[in-house]
Amino acid sequence: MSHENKDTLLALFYHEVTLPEAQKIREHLADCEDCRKYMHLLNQMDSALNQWPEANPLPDTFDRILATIPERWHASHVRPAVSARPIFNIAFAMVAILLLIYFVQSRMSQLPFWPAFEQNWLVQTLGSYGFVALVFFGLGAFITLALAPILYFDLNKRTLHI
Amino acid sequence: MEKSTDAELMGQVLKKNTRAFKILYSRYEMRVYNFILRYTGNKEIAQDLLQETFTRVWFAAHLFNLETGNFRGWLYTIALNIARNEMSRKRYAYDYAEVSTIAFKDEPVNPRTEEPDAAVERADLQNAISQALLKLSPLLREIIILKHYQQLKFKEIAEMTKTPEGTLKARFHRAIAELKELLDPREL
Ligand SMILES: [Zn+2]
Repeated sequence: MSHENKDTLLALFYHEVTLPEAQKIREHLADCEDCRKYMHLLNQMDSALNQWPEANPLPDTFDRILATIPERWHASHVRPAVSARPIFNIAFAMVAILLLIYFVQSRMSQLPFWPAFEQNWLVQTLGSYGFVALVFFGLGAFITLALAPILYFDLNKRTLHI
Repeated sequence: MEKSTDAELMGQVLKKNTRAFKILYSRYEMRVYNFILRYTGNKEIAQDLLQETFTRVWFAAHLFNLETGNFRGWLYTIALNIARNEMSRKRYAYDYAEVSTIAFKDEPVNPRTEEPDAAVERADLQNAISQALLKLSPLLREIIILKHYQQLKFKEIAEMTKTPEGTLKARFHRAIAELKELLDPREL
């Protein structure tokens, strides 16, 4: 049998060889003084290194780690999670708006002045549903603009929340 | 969640779940801390770099491959890079032997179970080992720590450090020989 190299002995020492391989190396060790010496050195160093015991980190380390996270939040490049929820929300809102327009139009056409109102050029151009939609969105835009300073401007902090 | 795999927990960390992050932290804090402590020989630095390692895990979670990734290897790669980086800075470019003499002075010994002489001898031996390790060049120290203390397979270390297994084993032989030289006067 050939003389084993040190790498094989190292692999044996750290159990990184197959069983048949280990068997073969052990047979060689039985009648090779040099290889036995090297295995002895590995053993010796192994027990010497074991004399340096493990130590413990500070018990509040995890809290310290968490404490550093918010400050560095903006520096990270986190991909936002992809979710279908916003699409459902928008679809739901659109259906609600269309139903509202339909409802308002049906009520308006029952009003006594509606036949005269229907002759107006704007109603003629847009159609009755279009006209209701215009009034609806016009009012919405007006209210949003009117409330914008309150919605976006925090009086206490005097900063814009955008 | 305590029984989840590392990869499953990383999936949660990606969703900014701090509970999953804490479980991962408790699984690996001792290994990472002692790895860096043995690498740098300094408790304060080891403490700082342990925090740095896990902060980086949190912010780089999206870089971990949830399907094929080996978390342990990934974590050690981060810790190793941080430790290497720290030790290559100029302020540590002095004799490591000077640093390491402080290593075990604050370790308490149990007076009831240990004879005073034995305790002194034990502390001396620990000190000798730590000093000898710190006298090795960084690459030799690294392989001893990763192989002996962290018990990684040569194959894993090869993947982590992008170094052929043969080179790592050659380094290990050299490190063992140098350690033997450094420790021999004490007749281990
Ligand atoms: Zn032999």
